[in-house]
Amino acid sequence: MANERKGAVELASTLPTTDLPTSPRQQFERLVTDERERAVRLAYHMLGGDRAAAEDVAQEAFLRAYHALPAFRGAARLSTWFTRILLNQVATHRRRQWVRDRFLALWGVAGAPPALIRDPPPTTAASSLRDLGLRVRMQRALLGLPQGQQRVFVLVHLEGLTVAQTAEVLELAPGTVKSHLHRALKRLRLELDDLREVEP
Amino acid sequence: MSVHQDERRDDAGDRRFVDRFRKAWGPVEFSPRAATAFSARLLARVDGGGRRRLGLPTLIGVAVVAAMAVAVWIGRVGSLPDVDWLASLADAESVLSSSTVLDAEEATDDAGVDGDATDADNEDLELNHEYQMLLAWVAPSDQELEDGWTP
Repeated sequence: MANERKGAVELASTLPTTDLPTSPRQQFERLVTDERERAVRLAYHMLGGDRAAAEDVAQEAFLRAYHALPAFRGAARLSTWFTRILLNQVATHRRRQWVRDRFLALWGVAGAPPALIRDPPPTTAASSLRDLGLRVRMQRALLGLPQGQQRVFVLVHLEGLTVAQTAEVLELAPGTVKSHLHRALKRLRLELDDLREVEP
Repeated sequence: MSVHQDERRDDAGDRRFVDRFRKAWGPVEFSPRAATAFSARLLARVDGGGRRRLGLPTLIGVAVVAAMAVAVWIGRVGSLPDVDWLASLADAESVLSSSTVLDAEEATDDAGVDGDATDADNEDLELNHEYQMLLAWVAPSDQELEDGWTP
C-alpha cells in the first residue's frame, strides 16, 4: 500500500507556483508525469481491477485534460481538477460498458469474463483459484456499490485520502462523505464476511 | 454496553475489514517501463491530434444506416416479383381475351345474332379496364420518362 499512501501525499501537495511549467504543453507533460501512476491505480480500483480498461480510461482522461487545460483557471488544485476528470471518464466508461453488455445480451452473446479471470494479478494473495474466486466477489461487491459510495470507499480506503480531501475532490460536504463511507463499509462487510480467509 | 463502546467496536471492525480488503485486493503494479510506455502512447495521441476510437454511439449509427441501406436494397429486389406478377397478369388477360369461348361469343356478336353486349364483351371490357388501370399504375409517366426513368 506504499504506492497508495504516496499517491495521497501527491494529491495533497500543491505545485509551487515557481515550478509551474511555462507552456501548456510543458504543464501537461508535468501533469502526466506526476499523475499517471495514481490515475491508472485509481481507475483500476474504480473499474474493479481491469488493468487494460484502467489504462485506456486514464489515457482518455489525460487527453480530455490536455484539451481543457487552457481553460483551467486554478480554482482547484491541478491534481484535484484532474481527478474529477478521471472519475467522470470512469463513469462514462462504465456506462458504455453497461450499454455494450445489454446490447450483446440482446443477441444472446455472453459478455467478456471478469478482468480478474482474464488477467489475474500475478503477485497478489489471489494467486490461488480459491482466492481468485474471492477476489472476483470483491470486485462484484465493489462494482455493486452505488457510485457515490464506491468513489468514497476507493478514495479514502484504497487511495488513502482524508475525508476532507475526498470531499474536495468530489465536491461534497464532509458529512456526506462520512455517510457514504459508513454505508459502503456496512454493505461490503455484509457481502464479504469471509474476507479473513485470504489472510496468510 | 454503551453506545460509545459499540461505536468503538464498529470502528475497530471497520479498520480490520479495510486492512483485509487491501491485502486481498493487492497493490497495483506500475513499473517505470510501463509508466514510460504509458506516457509515450499518450503523447503520441496528443501529437496525432488526439484521434479517438469509434465510440459505441458512432458504431450504432453506422449499423443503423447500413441496415437501412440493406432494407432499401431488399425492398427494390423484393419489388421485382411484383412487376413480374403484373406482367404475367397482363399476359393471362390477353390469353383469356383470345380464348375460344370468348372468340366464339365475339363471333356471334359480330354476326349480329345478339345485339346487346355479350358476357364476353362485359368480361373483356372489365379485364381491359383493369389492365388499363394496372398499366397506368405501372407504366412510367411522360414526366418520368423525360427524367430518364428506367425499369
